[in-house]
Amino acid sequence: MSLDSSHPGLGAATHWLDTPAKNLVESQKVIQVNSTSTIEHACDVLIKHNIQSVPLYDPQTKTYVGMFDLHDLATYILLKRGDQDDSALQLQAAAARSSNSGLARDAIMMGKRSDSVSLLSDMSHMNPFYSVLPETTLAQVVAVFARGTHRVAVMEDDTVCGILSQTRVIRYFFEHCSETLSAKESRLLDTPLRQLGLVTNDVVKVKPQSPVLQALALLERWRISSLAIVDEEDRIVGNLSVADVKYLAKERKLASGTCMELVQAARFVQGMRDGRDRAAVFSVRPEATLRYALTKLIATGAHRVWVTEPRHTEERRGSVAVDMPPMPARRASVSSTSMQTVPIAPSHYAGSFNDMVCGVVSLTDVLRLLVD
Amino acid sequence: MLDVDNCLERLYSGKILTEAEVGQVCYSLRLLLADEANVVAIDAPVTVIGDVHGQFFDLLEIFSIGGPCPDTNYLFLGDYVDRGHHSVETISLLACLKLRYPRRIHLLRGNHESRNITKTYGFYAECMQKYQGSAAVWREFTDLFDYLTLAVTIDDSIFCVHGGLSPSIQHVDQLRVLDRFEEIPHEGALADILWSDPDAEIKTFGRSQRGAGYTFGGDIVDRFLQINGLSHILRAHQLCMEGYLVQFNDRLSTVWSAPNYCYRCGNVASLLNVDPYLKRDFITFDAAPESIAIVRQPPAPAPEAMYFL
Repeated sequence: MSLDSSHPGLGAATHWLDTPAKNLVESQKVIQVNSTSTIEHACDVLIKHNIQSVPLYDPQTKTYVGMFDLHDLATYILLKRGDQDDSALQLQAAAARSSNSGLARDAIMMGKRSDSVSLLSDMSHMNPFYSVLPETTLAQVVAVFARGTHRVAVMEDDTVCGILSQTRVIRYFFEHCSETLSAKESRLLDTPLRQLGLVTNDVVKVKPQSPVLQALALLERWRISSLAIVDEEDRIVGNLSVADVKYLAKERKLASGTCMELVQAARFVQGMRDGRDRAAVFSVRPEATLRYALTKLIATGAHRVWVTEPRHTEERRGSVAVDMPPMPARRASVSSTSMQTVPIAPSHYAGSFNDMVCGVVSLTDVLRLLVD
Repeated sequence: MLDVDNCLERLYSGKILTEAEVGQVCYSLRLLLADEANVVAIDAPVTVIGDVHGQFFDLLEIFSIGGPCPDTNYLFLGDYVDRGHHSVETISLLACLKLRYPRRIHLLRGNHESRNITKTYGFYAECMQKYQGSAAVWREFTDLFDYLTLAVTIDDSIFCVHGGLSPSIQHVDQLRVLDRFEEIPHEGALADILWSDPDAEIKTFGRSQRGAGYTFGGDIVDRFLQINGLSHILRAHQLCMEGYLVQFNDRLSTVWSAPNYCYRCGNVASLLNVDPYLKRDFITFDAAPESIAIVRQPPAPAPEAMYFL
């Protein structure tokens, strides 16, 4: 057990960043797909296991040829539907096309004869097949994550022993942070989002009635994973993420529909699957702390939460404020695994349904802040 | 002048009200509900109903099993709209019943009685479809939702709410002094009681994966019951394949009243009879034949009226 200099004393716990990657993927059952499979099969695998990407294995060469993920599917749909009569869509599809590799152009030239998944792998260049050794420490993995890669493959002797995602690492940090949190990390977590440069107003938005294809083109063009759906008054009403794209493989007609229809179909299936409906939008205010945003990210399993603010100071209806009636401020024990006693989140940290979106906090942002 | 009995007659036969009638019903009901407290005390016997989610034919099934309103006292725990194909018919009927028999039927607010949720989960789209692209009916109903009461106590012993408990609420009196007349926020006591879920695996509170509210353990339930001199908590909000679920040594029950949820889940539903001695009795039921017929169809285009077979 190493003695971390910032935690003097015998038996000091290992800093979380020194943990080897293999510890986090120990009991994982690795799912992979043959590179000769069809796209539909690959999508079925993603839906069935509720994962975002899957390694592609070539049984002939016995090597991994890439990762298939939903960005690849989005690009594929754009290519196939690129010849729409709508000229705006054509322009955007062309933009998506030109940003792709020669693999994509080959696919078009071959007349899209083959639907085999290997043609799609790495087409979108969002998540190149990044691999690490089992002994690689989280410090190095997080450095990769901080640059925007969402997952890495932990490989030993040409075999994938596990896929390590941003979500898994963040959860691990959360579960262990109370033991090894440095003063600097603690201060960081208690900093409001506004002060962390996360209120950038640099958010890509679509309207509820925007076509799905336009949304896909935006996801690929800007290399992002999620779009805010805003209404005619610029209020955030929903969230379309690349994870929702997997439903397009099952329900093809959704691809000709609107963004809101796709989101509704996705939420419909999700709510039925676990019998619990979720809030329409996960959002936080700029004055909320990073810790609050992190708790929300972990609890919901989302890859990002939106930062939103009210359009202008609005009076609430009724004269009594929503803030608690005359009782002394209490600290309830909100057990979030290792967070012993967490104060009840102040009501003003949460976004409200009338808000306008002004930024986003993603897992990439959190990891980047932790290593800076 | 609104003829509520005439409205009820039409609604029971599956017809929807005109936009003007919806406006009048909602206006009158808002006046009535403005005088209802956040926590209403009622007496047993009463039949308690969980989530209905626009499954209109199953609602009629509930009335045929439990007895017609007002002959039977009813308490609905919320979530009248979204997901099912007949949210408009469902909420219209319940609203008129409340207007006509205010002391015989009580309607709690659920987390789906909300503007942003109904935009995502179907009620908004259904209103637009059935009222020729006009959002007026949706606006009337979502304004009405702000007035629905939050909780009910039965004989000062059974506490009924849609979701669950809140770390901000230790005593029921704290609920009484809230200002409830607004859209459900994402944080705070009002959000929590409509969104929270019990969790037998944890102690105290945990953050909810739903993105609003909390999860709470048996120790929280015990403490709440003890502090408030109550014996049981009734709530809905979570799908139960067997129609209901009793937890924490019979201190908390979940009632679910939408059979074959979303016309696909294959679950049974239940209604809960609470007798004058506060004895609780679940009655389970399957989907109504008309609901089964909907199973493989997309939502019907807006017919002017629907008739029973």
